Amino acid sequence: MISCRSTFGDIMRKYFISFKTLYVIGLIVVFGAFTIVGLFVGGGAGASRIGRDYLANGLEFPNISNAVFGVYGIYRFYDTLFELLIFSTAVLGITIFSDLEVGSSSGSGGTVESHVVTTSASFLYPVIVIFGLYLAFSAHLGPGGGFAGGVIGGTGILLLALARGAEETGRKFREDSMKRIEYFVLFLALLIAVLGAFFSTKVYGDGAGLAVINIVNISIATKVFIGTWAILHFFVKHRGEV
Amino acid sequence: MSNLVSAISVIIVCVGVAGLILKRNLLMKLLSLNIVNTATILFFVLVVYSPGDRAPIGTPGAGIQFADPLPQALVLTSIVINFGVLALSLLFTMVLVKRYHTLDLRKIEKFVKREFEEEGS
Repeated sequence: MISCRSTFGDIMRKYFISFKTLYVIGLIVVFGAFTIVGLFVGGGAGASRIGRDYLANGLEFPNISNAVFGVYGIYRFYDTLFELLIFSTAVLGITIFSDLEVGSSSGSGGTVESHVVTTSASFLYPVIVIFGLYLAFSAHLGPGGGFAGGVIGGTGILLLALARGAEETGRKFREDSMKRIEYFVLFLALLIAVLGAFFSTKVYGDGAGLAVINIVNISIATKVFIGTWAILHFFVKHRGEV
Repeated sequence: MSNLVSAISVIIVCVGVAGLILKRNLLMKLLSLNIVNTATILFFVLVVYSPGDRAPIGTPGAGIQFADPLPQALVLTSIVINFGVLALSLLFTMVLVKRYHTLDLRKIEKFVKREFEEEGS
């Protein structure tokens, strides 16, 4: 015999909401409400000007006119360093697991792109890479930076890989030599970070400081370039597979 | 005004966290993670936004106020780390899909539990 009484749980189940869901949503709403109230009570977001001190000191070095580079390249370079370490850990995981689990077979080896795509790609990718290098080299003077330059360079190589095939481009930029460059660049960044923490005015300030700043920029750009290329190469190689 | 829009970014974070917990599809979980990250970037932008500020390049002249450079540098960090984390978790999703042929987390848990029981017996 079917009971006519429907409990609260039955009604909820009818509308696809369980108690667990309700509980989670309630918790999140409480958290959001407290945060928003805190925003309004605590003077608001616009009132906090965290980096005023950096802005005052960021132009202390005569070689640098971009204060954002002053923050991530000099004052908080350890921050950037650990970010690079996390990024290279992700890239390491991708290279290891792509060999172990997914296999090295190419899912779309037979596709041939049209002549328009291949020609325009081989015409365009040097321009894109040079633009990335320009952004990396001029990061202390204007907008841009190592991160943007590295990502632009990596996507330029990705364009080449999409046009000519991932296998051929992968042979040109081999992973083992890339890895060696990557670790050398990381070591260089670590060295500059440690030296800069103790002798910041000497390392960044004088005429030699310009070279150090460029080395910082180029090491960040190379690191991001290799990481981007490794990640995108993996996803291009295994597209349409699973 | 800035407070109101930062409240919206907090709401977007809440939506992302809810999706992260409640969705059973692995790809939907990753999308929710991306929503949380984007809302964080929005919050960073709003923290320093004030009308009339210039980009912090060059030397400040009279009457020109520069924008705060610190959150801009932090947003760079946030973007790159989100890229790495997303790529790594997509790789793990690929591995799981290749082994169990589903994106449903409950089904994957069932498969894994069954594998453990088979190994134990």
